Amino acid sequence: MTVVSLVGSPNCGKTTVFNALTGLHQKVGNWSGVTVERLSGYYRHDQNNYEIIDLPGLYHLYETSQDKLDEQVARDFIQNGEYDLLLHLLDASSLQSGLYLTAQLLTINKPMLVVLNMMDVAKSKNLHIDVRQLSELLGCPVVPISANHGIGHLKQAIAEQTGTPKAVSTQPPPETTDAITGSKPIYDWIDTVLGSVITGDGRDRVTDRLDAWFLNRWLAFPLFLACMYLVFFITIHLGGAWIDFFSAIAGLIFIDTPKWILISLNAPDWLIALVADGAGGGVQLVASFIPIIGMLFLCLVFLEASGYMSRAAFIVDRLMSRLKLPGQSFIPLIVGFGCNVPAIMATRSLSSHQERLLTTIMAPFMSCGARLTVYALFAAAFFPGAIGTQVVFGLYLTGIALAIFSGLVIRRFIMSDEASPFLMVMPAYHLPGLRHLLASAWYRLNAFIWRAGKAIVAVVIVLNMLSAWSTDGTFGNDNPENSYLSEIGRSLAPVFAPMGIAEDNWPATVGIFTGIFAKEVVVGTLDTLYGSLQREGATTAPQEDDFSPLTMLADVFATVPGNLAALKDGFKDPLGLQIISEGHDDQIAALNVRTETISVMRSLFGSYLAAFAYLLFVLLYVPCVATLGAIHKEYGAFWMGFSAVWSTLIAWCLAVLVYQLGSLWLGDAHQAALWLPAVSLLIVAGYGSLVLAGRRQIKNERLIPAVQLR
Amino acid sequence: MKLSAEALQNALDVNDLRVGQTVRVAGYTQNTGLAEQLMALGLIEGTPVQLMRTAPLGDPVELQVRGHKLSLRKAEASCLRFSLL
Repeated sequence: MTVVSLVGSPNCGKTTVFNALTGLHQKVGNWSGVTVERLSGYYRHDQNNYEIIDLPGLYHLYETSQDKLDEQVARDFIQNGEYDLLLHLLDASSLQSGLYLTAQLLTINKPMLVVLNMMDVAKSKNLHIDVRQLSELLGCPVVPISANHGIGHLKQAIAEQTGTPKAVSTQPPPETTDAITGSKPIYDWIDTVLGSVITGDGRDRVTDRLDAWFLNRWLAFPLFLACMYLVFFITIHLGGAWIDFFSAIAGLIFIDTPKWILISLNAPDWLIALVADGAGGGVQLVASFIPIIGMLFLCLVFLEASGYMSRAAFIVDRLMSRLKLPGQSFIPLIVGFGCNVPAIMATRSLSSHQERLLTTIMAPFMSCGARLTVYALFAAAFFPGAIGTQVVFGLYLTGIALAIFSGLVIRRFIMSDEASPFLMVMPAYHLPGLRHLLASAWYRLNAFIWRAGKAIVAVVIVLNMLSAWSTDGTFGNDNPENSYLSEIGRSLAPVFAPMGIAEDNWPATVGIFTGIFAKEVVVGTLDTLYGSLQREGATTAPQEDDFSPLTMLADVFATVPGNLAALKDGFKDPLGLQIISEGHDDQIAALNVRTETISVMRSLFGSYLAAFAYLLFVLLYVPCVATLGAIHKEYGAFWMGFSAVWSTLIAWCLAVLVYQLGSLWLGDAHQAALWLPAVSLLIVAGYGSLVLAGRRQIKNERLIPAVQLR
Repeated sequence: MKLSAEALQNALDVNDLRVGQTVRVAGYTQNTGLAEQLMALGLIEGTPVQLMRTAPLGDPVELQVRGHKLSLRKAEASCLRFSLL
């Protein structure tokens, strides 16, 4: 196997070339000794196997005090690693910034091949590059490529160059030791090289013209918001239109079919619950996320590859710098309003570990689409008309405020690192190739499915077993009141008493518990349980299970056109807030809940205050299983637990505070005197220990630093 | 290249520049890791630099250096000193 190191500066299109060379044959491992991700790709050419190692982007090889861990790893590997060929990528449209690294690479005694990427952009900048002359000056072959052309030629050149000894450059670069004394001689060398290689003025009129709009003092923010809106719309609505389809197909394959087979084999109920509802249900949940996450990745890859992401970061950097976060972290937070899972995945575009982590802990406070269904149910029951809209809007704002608050606290007390500098060479705008977009989006989607999927499936199995298992030892989903899940709900009820959930309102507690699955499950749970309270004693006939895959399949395909047709409404109302302001009966119909559920809810919650406190809790408490799975995949078990405890603590304290203060205001003070000091104490003790635990973890991570590349 | 106290007195910093103005890099207030990064990116003594724009909220700024556009925060550019052409 021939080992090739792919080296280049940030934003020179390394990922594009890597994807084009290796396609989907990529593998993620770790560099020995550190938990920095090592991304390798493989391909075959002329009966030989090649491994390409994608190294983090570098501007130079000097060690400085500003180095990030991934840069150190890359630097060390280039100088001391075992490989056969240095594949050095240069952005032809901005050779000046890339040749600095070239000068240093030439002094390393390894065979080298230079790839001139973005020749199309260079041409549009009116730059002509004498490739043969450049190759002679550098003493190594130079292969020009552009977005979708020249990859076959490149593979051939790699094959030819491997094993041949390093040629001597006719214009050898200076030997230097550090940036302070070395930069001048290196730039003199660059000027000499470029002087005999490049003709043309190099003014990028397309980029200048686009920047005049996108970075314009008055238009930058409206255009930025329009872009975010479009990403949001495409992800949630265009992607979301396929959720039913994916969910139903997965349900058919992983739930209904195994169930049918197991029933015909006379398998015991617990096995059916385990295999079909548990494992199959978990797979179905993961599958239902595929369309939105896939769409999001497509959008993000496009924004990155086109060059707009760097502009977006430039515009909003000021807003985020208070949190010592870079401008890029704005995007995951916006995406979080649609779904927290892709928001966590979108943090990957940030460059430092701590910045990614901080954004990840903030993101779940962005109220996602699933939580909106719960608000809608409560608005229908307690806050009809305009008040409902205000309540829901207030909940969104509360989420944002607490995200910022959490960010400030964590930055101040847990993370010690100074903000990393915002140094960025702005790439030229260019239209990315479709092949690259699809390959990059697929690579990230694939990683999500396998890694986050495992955690999600495991939790769904456990919750399903609990909900199907009755306390009298029988199995089945037909009596939810007696399941272990309900039992847990009832025993947890006292915990929620201070926020106004009475003991006989235990379904609300069960809803909170099942909401950990997915926030939209809360509505279904409440509907089932409140509905069954109403029908006390009445027994429903067990449903006859007709299994006819073909009709089901037809129904599945029928969901897509309808969902796509609804897109135009989604464009006007991307958050789906309309459901709140609709008439009362429409609201109930849209939610698919029974009318009696609403009346039972009203009598059991007893007051608007208790209902509002419950909504606050649902907004803020532990992120759903899928989000937790994503956090686990990206940052490990500790930070998953940290995020869960952090948000649940806020949720509980705030809900209790609001309920107790509200009761006080309404003249019902008998409990407030007890709970207000208790909550204050809990806030101090709880967050105190969270901060301590977080600090210890950060310290440990520094011993084994965890950085993820790409 | 660290500047002498006297040279510092006469030099401009990033806040003194107008959008569109072209100046030369005079040097650095101190030799930090950040200064090394900036030097590697082409901001070395004598290099012409144009302030292309500031972000809509006033920070960061975009500099045109040696044919490429470099964006950095004013706080980070504060270690740089410029002289008039």
